Amino acid sequence: MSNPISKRQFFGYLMAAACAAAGGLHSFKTYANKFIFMEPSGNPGPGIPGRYSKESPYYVVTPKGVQCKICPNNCILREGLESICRTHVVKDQKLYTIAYGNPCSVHVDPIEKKPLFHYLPATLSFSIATAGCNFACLNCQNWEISQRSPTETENTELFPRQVVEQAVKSGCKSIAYTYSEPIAFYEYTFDTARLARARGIKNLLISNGYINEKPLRDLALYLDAANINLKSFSDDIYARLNGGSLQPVLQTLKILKELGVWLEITNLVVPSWTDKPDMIAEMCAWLMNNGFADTPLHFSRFHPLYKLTGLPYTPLSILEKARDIALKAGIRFVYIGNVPGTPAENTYCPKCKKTVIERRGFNISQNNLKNAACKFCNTPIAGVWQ
Amino acid sequence: MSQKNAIRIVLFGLGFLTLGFQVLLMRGFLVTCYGNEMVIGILLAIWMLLTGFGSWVGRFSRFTLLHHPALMLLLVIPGIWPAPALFLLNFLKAVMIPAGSMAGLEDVFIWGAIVQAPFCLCTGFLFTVLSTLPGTGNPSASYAWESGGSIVACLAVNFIFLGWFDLFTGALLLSVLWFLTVSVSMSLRRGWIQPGVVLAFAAVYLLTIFRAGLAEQSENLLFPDQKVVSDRVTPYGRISVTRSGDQFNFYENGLLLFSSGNTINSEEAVHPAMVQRPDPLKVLMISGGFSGALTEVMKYHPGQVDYLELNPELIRVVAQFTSQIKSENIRTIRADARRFLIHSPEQYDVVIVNLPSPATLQINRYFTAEFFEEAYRHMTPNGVIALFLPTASDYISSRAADLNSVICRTLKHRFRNVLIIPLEKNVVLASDSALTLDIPGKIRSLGIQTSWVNPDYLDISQLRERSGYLEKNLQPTGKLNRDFDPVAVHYQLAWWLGYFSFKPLVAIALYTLLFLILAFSQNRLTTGMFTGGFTLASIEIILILAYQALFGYLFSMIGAIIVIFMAGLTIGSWLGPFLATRWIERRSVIRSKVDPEAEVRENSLNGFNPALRQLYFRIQIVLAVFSMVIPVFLLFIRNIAGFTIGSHLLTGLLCLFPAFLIGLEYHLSVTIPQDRINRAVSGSYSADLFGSAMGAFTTGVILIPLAGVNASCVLLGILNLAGAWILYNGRRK
Ligand code: SF4
Repeated sequence: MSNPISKRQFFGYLMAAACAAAGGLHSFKTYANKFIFMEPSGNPGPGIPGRYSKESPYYVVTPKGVQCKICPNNCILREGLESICRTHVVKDQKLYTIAYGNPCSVHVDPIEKKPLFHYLPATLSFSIATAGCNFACLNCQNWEISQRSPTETENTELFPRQVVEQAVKSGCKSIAYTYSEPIAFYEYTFDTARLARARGIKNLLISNGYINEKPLRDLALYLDAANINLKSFSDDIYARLNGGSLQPVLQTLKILKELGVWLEITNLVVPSWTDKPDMIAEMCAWLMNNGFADTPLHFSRFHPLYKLTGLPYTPLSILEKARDIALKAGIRFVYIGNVPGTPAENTYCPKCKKTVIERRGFNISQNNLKNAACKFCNTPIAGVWQ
Repeated sequence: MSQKNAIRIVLFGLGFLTLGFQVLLMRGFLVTCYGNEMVIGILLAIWMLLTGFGSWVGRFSRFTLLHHPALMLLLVIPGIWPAPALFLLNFLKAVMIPAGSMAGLEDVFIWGAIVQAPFCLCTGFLFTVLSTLPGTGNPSASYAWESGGSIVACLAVNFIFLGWFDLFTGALLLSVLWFLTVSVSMSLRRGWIQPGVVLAFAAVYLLTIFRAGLAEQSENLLFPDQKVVSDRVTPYGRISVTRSGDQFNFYENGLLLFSSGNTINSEEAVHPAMVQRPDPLKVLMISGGFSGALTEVMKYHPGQVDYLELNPELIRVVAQFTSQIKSENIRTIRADARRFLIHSPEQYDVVIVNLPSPATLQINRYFTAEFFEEAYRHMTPNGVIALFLPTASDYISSRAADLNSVICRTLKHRFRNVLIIPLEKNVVLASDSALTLDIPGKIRSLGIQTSWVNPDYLDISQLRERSGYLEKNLQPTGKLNRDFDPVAVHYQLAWWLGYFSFKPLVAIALYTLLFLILAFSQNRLTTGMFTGGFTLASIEIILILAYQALFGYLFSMIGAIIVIFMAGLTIGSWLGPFLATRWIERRSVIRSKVDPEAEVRENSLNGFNPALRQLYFRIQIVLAVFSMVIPVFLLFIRNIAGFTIGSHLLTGLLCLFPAFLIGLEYHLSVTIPQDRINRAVSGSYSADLFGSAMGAFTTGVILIPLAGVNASCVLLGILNLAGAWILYNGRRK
């Protein structure tokens, strides 16, 4: 065809466009971030420890880079690289957290919401989280903070001392490290827990339990209770659904129990992933064999969230089946969560089967507990009740 | 029968097959990828780019006979592809991403390319080849025949296939029709041997597909560990019902609408609004009532509940699998709510817009200032309206804050009080009268029995704290969400993109590069087709959006708009030769009177017919002006003409006119150059498709959500002026 725009002309236009693009890149990027994709601006980028940073106590310098030893991801980092949890950076061969004193989520919640049913029931918990997580669950309900770095979220300045002050001021009996993943903001959790212990405030770890032994044992000195999310009983599912592995979580359960931290376990029943009766039975057998018969187990209903919106809610019949399996295996306190109004929110005496604590939502409507035992048959009910 | 007529029959069939498969495949993608407009925009763009590329490659073909064996083989490929493509789509999803998870943008790109490539490349190639075989006649007539096939397919698929068949049966039917078309056209020319082979092959193929049970296998891949108990493709979307345990799950286009026995959603949808006006005479609920929400509404004993549901099939299917509350006070109305409100004289105490957040332009119509205005006119002085947005109670990101802010701002523009309540979703209430946050307290004092929305689960002090947190993060000033400036869609899209660690700069750079390559690889004539295709696709999107915003969604009208566009293309390309000849004659007469030498001089320039080039140039200018004045027409329809026959006729003309011009332009672009015909056809057709691809994506996904309809129209005008300038500039060199 005659007279197309010549190649020279074409490349001329392209060059002009490239120059314009290069020249205007800064303002263009600002525009794109601010108006098109709404990234927050003004935060320090990764790799720049600043006001909300602290050197981490758990790292080794290796020839490959600085290796974080907080969780089994064992990230090896160099300057400018982002850790898996997005909260750790390296500067001058040192590992820093950038999630320290800058929580993005601060609320007061009933302790039952964590869920902790056998620990100081009907009390309030001062709950904090920074951005970041060492997992990447496809169904995360808090993905806007867990899958972000603290440099990307809108944060509040609240250093450990202030957290404790606020918890006291708001009448909370405990501080919950929750919402995203406290292992990702380990240093902040640790320092706050230490100060809280000194002030008589309890510390609750609401976590995926994916942590190395040493940091866990150190932290457990200040922990009072924990709810560990045992996401499945399969390494393969841990890898594909969460980006983790099973064994470290099982080890965490054992260590917390050994160190006397009050423990409850949550298992989210995700349709077509973690709802297989065989796997649930295997999990319950392990719990029984390792001394967790008195550890409350919460089967939680899945809601289609984040990337798993193609799945339905967990059918109630599946949750009830899971509960039956656990009770039959010998676990004494088994609950169903995220299903309002279910009688499986109540605590039943494992011996006489009567209702010891009747719950309606986050309230207790009937309490038949006397001296930490069933008032009908005097069977001790495991928990920290006062 | 002459080769010319045989080819025209095949071209007609090709148009039918192409558009029919496109409609079915997009429905398939909607389910597999939970499609929003961005996904569909991307897929359509890939479709047109691939077809355009196939057509461009067609310029190198050397076929001279329709019954050439290699050409026969090529004719078979598009016929065998539709049903396996639908299966392949679900298969790719099952193997490439984790079960139940959402497809990312890169998945959409990859699947779109894999599933569409064989078909699109082949049909694009075939179009060029068939249009340029010796004896085919005028290529613009070929374009008209192909468009004619598309028109019939649009009518047939949308009004017959989608009502009666599932996707697989529809796809197989398309294959049957295609094989018959090819065989008949061959038999008319060369006897029955070759057609017999084609038909025998088709029969074996169809049998194999049925035996393989592709349809069931495909469904199982889509809903892992669930039993599909019903799957219907309706004009409004695909409704699938699955059973898991004792629970039924209802999906529309792959998105879970609700599961049976889920009280949280239905209670949250109803009680926050109802407790504000606990003695309602009339309640309006838009969609989502059969999930249990209507049962919750009836706890307040309203005098009348008008329940509006667009898709009658959804009503039927839900009733089939769940027990529904029966009351003579509930009036179920099968209509689009905006359309309904135009004519309704009713006044409501409570309006519940029980829809998902504004992820698409279609849903966004219920979140705009214009809709709030309309709803306000139908509300009693104390009336309250409720709608729902993505939750952000633990943390509100800037993306979520923007989306929540724009909707609250838009409501505040009309209502005195706006309240945002963070529950499982954010419940947004608006009214001219006072609103209370103490939902749990009210529920208790009214004695309403609920299992979730009550003081046991919702603590008023925590509600206050979290509502206050949200309020604090909302921006009070900024744009409003409007019908023709749907900024909420853009915010929702940005929020959704946040799922995928989306890199905006990379995407923008890639898009810009593709646009530049496509735009600058055109010559001055095909530039016109490129900008023309871009404009037409954009105008189509704008007018469909405008119609829905002005008069409500009506499936038959949207279908009619698309058909009018295609009719315009057909008429333009059909009348092209006649009009061009008339133009040349007229111009020659005038010219020869003024300057007898002019014609000779201009003809020597580049071998172009100057009269036709001038016509082409003028069409570009007219298109530019037309694009820029569309907002004026829309303003006229909205503010003066209203919902009248005149408005509908005007809308029809607005569709027909630019399509006619593009059809005419196509004729000119393949006629003006005295070049090899297959190069001209492939150049123009591919330019048209490239332009349409970029137009559909740019306007639907970027321009309208970011800049609104008016600015988009102006930009379209500028684009066409640029096309005209390139044509003009080329003449002078
Ligand atoms: S805490 Fe973070 S940086 Fe450390 S190993 Fe785990 S993921 Fe990596």
